Amino acid sequence: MSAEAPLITKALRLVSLALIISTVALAASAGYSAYQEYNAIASLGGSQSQLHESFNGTTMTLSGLTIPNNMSYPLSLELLGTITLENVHLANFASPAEVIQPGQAKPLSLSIGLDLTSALTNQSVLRTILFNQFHVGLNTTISTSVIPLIGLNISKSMDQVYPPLIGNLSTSLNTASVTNSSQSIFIPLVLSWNNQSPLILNGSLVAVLTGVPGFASGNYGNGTAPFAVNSGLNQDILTLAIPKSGPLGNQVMATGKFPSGNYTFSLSFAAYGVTVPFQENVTVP
Amino acid sequence: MIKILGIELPAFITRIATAVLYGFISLIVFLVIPNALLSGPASAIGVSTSIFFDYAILIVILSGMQGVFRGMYLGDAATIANSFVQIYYLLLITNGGIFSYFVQQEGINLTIDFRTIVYLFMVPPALSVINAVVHASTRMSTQRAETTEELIKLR
Repeated sequence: MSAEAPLITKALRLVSLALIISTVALAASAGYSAYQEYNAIASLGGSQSQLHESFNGTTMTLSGLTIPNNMSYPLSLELLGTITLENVHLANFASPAEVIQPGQAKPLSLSIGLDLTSALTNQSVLRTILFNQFHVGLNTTISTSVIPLIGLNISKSMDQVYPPLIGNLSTSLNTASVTNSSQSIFIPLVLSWNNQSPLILNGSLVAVLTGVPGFASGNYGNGTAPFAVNSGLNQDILTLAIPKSGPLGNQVMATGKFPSGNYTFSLSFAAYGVTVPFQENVTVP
Repeated sequence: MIKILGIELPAFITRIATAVLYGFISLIVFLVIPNALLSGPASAIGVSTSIFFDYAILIVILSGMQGVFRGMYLGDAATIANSFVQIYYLLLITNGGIFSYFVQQEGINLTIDFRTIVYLFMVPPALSVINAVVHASTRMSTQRAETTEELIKLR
């Protein structure tokens, strides 16, 4: 009987050797291809990013990305990520998977519908976006893979700062209207502001006149009106009803005009089930 | 004839030379090359020599043992142990086949998933385990037959 190694062990050694050689060759070619692709994609997702985001109302559009396939293998590609408003999650997105053949390039664009409810039911978020600069975070991942050899994910976080929805708010009083048939004097409170952000909102506004010159703080009359925050310059007129028999009513009825001085209005903006109170002063000369 | 560890002296010297060669190749493949790669451009990946040094040395020792005790059960045991250590070493040095690091220059986070290639690299050590088991079991049956042959001759 021979003590020589059986044929199967020789075969296994040969298979092992063949596997090592082929895997090293495969790893080298896949690694080189991945490096080429990384150079191409990093320049798209990097500091000089070509990824353009536009935000209009409740739709965010991502465009401007053209992904080349610099590899020797077909490339599977997906764009995915998340959008946040003041660190509150708004939406996840994922483009359909595309396959790019070697040497070709494919443009990528995506429209994402945003449901603002999850963020704006939070009172502090609503307050921030109404009166302060706010942050919209965009985490994007360009997911590429040479199925099933190698996967390359390039992620980038972008933070966009937008101006407040109610920017440069100014208030004034229009001429009061007095009717004999009513028990009240109607004071039109004019609110003007500029919304330079891409967001729009609809809600309601409640105003209470709490400060009248020469009198202690109190409730001197109130009014409610729908309140729409559209893009650009906005104006809203909210009419408050002041009782004729009250201290202010008596003065207006007697003199026909508002006593000069500072008027304080307590305002409450209500939307998405939450209320944001704020205060405005109007000076009558 | 002088025997060392049950091996005749000339054969033992040859095997020591083979063991030194195996050990040297293992040292280059499992320690020197990875160390050079991971301390150079790939240093940001975060795999340092200290993580895999012990395993690389163990692979070198087991490769040497394989060379010295070739054709013996101890050699088969060394082959099996070496294969398992190599598989674990591969997982360790490649972080399971997923590298992730932050490219500060570009402000991007890069994740490379090459698990398939890592699994392919694990196949040869796995085949070595099968090979060693086949070797050992074959030797067992051959030795029995040889012993029987020797007994017949003696009669």
